Amino acid sequence: MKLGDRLPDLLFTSLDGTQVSLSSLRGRPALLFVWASW
Amino acid sequence: MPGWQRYLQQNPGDQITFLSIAADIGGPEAARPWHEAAGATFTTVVDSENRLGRLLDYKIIPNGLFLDAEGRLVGKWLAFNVANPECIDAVNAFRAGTLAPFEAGVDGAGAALTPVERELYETRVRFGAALAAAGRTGEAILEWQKALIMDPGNFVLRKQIWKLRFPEKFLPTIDFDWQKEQLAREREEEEEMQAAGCGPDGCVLPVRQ
Repeated sequence: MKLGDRLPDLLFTSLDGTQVSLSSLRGRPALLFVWASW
Repeated sequence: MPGWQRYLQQNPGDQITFLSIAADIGGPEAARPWHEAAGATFTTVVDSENRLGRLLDYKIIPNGLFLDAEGRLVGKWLAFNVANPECIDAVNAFRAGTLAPFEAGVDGAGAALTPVERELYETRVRFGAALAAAGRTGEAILEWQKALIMDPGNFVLRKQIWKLRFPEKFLPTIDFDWQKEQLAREREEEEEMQAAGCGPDGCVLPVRQ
């Protein structure tokens, strides 16, 4: 995947159990902060 | 996490959506303490299979991925850190709509795998994740270790293994000094194995002449 490519519509689960898809973020720029507990 | 919470509180506005993604094999229960300790008001989701990592082929964390309103990747910052003023500048410019497409930060050198090897590697990673999720920790560690031998620069994978093998080194606090020592130990072992002709599937027996 390179700059300019659209990320696939991955589906994630939030901490409260709701589903969040990447497509639901469209309509506004988004910053995804990827981290880990380690 | 607390750093980003502070930034968002000090810089309110809805120019962008901020989504926190915990790439943690332990799932929501592993991520929740960190989210709550930060007093986070933003949404945190879990990517327990590290799908984004495999998609974007990064070997370290944390990372910042900038998407435009159409969901296209317009920026990628590896080792993205709220304490880095340049990262903050990039976020501010992104919010102002003035950030040009970019890639920044550093990543570990990826292993030169053939397409078949890459498929085998990803299968091992996914299988290990499934084993870990099923509570079959020992088998998960073995599977991931086989994958790590194929891509020893992958710190995302290495740290996932550490967290399973040495959970006490991650809770209640992360022991980064131990991580440096452990990395040095493992690097030495991996070099010895390589010198002895050993790989993910065992060692090559010397051929009797």
